[in-house]
Amino acid sequence: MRTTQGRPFFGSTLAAGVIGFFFFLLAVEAASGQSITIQGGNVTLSITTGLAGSEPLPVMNTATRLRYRRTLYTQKITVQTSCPGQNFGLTVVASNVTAGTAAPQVTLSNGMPPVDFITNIPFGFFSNATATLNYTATATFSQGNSAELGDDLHTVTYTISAQ
Amino acid sequence: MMRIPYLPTLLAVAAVAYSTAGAQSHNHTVRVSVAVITALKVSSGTVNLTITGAGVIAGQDLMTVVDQSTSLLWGTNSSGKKVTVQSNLASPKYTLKVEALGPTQGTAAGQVVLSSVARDFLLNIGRSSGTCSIRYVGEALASQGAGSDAHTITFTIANQ
Amino acid sequence: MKTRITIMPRLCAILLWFLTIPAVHAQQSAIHQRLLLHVAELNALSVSPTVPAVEMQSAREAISRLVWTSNGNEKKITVAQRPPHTAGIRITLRDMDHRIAATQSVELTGPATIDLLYGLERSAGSCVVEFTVISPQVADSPPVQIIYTVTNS
Repeated sequence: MRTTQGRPFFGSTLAAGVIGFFFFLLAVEAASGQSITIQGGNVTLSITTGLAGSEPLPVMNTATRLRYRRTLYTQKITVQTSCPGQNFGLTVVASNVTAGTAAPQVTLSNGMPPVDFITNIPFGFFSNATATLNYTATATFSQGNSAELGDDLHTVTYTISAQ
Repeated sequence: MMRIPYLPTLLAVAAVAYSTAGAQSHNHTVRVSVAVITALKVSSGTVNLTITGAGVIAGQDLMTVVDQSTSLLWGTNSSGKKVTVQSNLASPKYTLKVEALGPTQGTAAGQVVLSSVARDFLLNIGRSSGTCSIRYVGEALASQGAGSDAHTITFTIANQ
Repeated sequence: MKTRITIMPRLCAILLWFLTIPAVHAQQSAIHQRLLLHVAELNALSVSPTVPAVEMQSAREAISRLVWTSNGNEKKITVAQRPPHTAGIRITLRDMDHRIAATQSVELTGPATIDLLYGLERSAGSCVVEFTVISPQVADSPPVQIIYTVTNS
């Protein structure tokens, strides 16, 4: 490839400048921007009904979304929670994943190590992907109720990193 | 003038800067709230007890019939609970007794005569899901003659 | 604007209360079951032993115990012999365990059904039944079957 002056483009100062500026922007964006965000705010799940001879009915919430940025390498998202004195059950699974593969449903328990949530997020330039967060709260009769034990308050953390 | 040999350096710098951005996290709060839940169910809403010739022994004034065809199912996530039983009939013509058999949780209170006053049926069932058979015993004296009592039996989860 | 500020928290509280009610009432802490206890008109009779032997050549007497229960109105017990036998049989009741304190005696001489006991309504009772052959009988004749029936007076 040659310029109009007949000099090779990749050997020119202009080419070096363009490429350098491109990677500079990439580096700046990567270093300063938020790669993962949760949209929809905090979530409350309330279990209110139960079946005689069975258990309380689980409650699902799909109101929040995960927004994450694709990069030059394959990434994954992990999930973990902190919930001191946890009494009830909580699971999460990703759906409507626009980039990557949803892992099987994750049971969120206090002190758990990070567990894969979305894996194999492919390479992509400055493009964002999203996934719906499907939370399901469960409880058994033997686990009691919030009036006696208090609510479970989870701080659920999603982390995106190189895979 | 900058020349092509400087490009690998730029690439390397950019790649290093990009990769050192590292893992990023975001969190939010998820609250799980569980209401006080109590649930009761009977396997059948209707029981027919009929004292027939099989329940009569010649020479005995007392005639009886027993039914154990239905069961009670319950669930409660509160502690310190029991199940009581009562009838809507304050003065039934015949005697009707009831008893819990084989509770999977808690303790059967034993056989009680049904009246309009609540009597203990199951004790210490708190925070459980379980079932038991309901055993009814109908008793009539020959002197009470023929007839019928239509009861509405109410089982209630109550504080112990 | 001041009014609005003071009313809003109350409205919110009332709204919250209304929203909470269905959740509370959705829980069923009581359940009903309909039970019909039906007592039919019942009558029961029992005789023991069922095959008393009447010694034709000696005392010519046999004894059974008759017990009954009835929750019906105006009931009586009748007695008959089947098949009708040539031998007449006297049936005497004694040791009555019932408010019918009378001792009664009836004679079965043909196919007729005869009243044995009256006034046993809504009660249980018992008595001893004595059988006596009151007329000559052919040797090796078939056994006599005595049939007791509770029926309306």
